[in-house]
Amino acid sequence: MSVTNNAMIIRRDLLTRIIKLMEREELEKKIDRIPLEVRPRGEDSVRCCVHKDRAVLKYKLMAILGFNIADETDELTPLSEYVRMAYNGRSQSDVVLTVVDEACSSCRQTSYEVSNLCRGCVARPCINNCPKDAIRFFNGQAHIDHKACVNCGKCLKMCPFHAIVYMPVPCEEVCPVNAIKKNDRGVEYIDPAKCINCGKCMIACPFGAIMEKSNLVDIFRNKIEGKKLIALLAPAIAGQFGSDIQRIRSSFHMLGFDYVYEVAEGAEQTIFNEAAELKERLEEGQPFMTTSCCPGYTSLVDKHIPALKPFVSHTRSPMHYMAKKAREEHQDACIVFVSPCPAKKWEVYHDSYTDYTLSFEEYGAWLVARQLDLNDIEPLEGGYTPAAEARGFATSGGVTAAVKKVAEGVNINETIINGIDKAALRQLKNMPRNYQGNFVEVMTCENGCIGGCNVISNPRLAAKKIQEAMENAPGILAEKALP
Amino acid sequence: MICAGTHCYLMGGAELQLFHEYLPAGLRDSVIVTGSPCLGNCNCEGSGKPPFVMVNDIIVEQATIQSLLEVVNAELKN
Ligand code: SF4
Ligand code: SF4
Ligand code: FES
Repeated sequence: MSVTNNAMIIRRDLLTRIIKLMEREELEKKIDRIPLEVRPRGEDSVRCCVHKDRAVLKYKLMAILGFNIADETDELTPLSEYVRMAYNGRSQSDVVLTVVDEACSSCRQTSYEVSNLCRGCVARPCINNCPKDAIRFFNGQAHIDHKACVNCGKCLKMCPFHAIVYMPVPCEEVCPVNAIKKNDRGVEYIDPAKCINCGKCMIACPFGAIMEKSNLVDIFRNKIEGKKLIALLAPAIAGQFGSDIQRIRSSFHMLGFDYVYEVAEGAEQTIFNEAAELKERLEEGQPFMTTSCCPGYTSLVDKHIPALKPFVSHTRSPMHYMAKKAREEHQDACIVFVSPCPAKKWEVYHDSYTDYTLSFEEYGAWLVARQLDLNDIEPLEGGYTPAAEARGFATSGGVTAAVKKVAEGVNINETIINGIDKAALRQLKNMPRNYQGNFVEVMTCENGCIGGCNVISNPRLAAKKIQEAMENAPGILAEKALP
Repeated sequence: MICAGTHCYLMGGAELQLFHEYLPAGLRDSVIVTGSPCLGNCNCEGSGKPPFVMVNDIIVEQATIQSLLEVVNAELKN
């Protein structure tokens, strides 16, 4: 399945335009023209008319500037005004995703519908099998009475012509925790008390109506104010753009970052701490322990499975350890985590050492805005080479493999949850009662971080690249002494 | 030749890197799929939108797996 769709391409195009203008210091002057440039008069519109398209673009740009669309008080406020506010430094909340209500087409409530393929047959198995007597016939075709229908789907299975279709609401369908629901206008609303910031709804929405707020302006503002910029590269970046990690590191210097660290270095500490903690907990008689490096998963436990909380490890994420070291070395710098997913953006907001997030997507847009091509960049030699196992954190199963290497004397019997969906949620909910193994690795995204919703590369290609990077790295025990 | 330049990669080219897998088995021997550094189209006005792919001498803009399959088939017929 493809990982890119047109809604994403539009977002990436907008990101590129914004960064270009920021690089030229013309954002405030020119941002209000972007919707007109993207949707000029006379070209086909995607929605009812070009004005609606432009309105949607305006709100997407507002999200990229880092604002909550729901916070708009005056519809006439131009984007340039938001740019001013952003450059003056505004406070942000930990809300990562924002719904563009103009773009949300208020997909119809999940339902079964009879399509015009209905032949009005004589047997009418739909009627006979409907437990609620919800099917009526008129004009020679079946119709579902939605007041009576309970969405059981029996009619769909019975129709010999496959005339009955299931119409899901895409965003609600993928949300593992039912956090996104319609408000009274039929537009989706994300409940912050339930949302774990996995971003699955953002990818699923066919209208691109769910946008991630960006820190781009904040990063540029800090640069202008003369702060040193530090990039912390998530391990998953090694698989992106078909490039290698040395070129990627080099490119961050070209974009204007002063120092670049690989978060895989912090992962080494996570590995040792995780292994030590597992050993300790098992010795104390706890039946099992789960990982804690994926913020989508830890939010899931906090908000939806409190009974699992005592089993979640207290070891911090690789990002946290790396940011701590970077902060110790550069007190006043602005620390930017380069991230595969919105859940990490949430973690960054709550982390004491990290300031901002730059998603892989935003990073790519920045390269394009500067007309930099990774293939042409000289690789940056030298620097710290993180252990192979630490690089492996980017893929599902990587944490377990690493902990197994260093957890001496512990016989690890693991379960790997590769992506959180409704089934995984049920499995996790049962664990405090009857889990038989002793170690559970949980990644919110399928394939691990290389499957995060801000990634560029197809996860299969990314996995290959990560494998290559691992082959060029020392083993965790060969080179690193146990602390 | 599939552009693996950063611009094309970001704008959907990432997907095309797996193009060979979509070729019907019968065609795999008649088509050579290679990656290419920036084809130079992305920064010149009027040459269309990325991702770009070159099939023989034809430049395909906004390439998708489907549009490429069509062009490849048409070229093979020639
Ligand atoms: S998928 Fe959800 S957010 Fe997107 S248009 Fe439909 S209802 Fe709105
Ligand atoms: S980010 Fe994830 S948890 Fe939050 S509303 Fe979207 S799908 Fe649901
Ligand atoms: S990156 Fe593909 S043509 Fe330039």
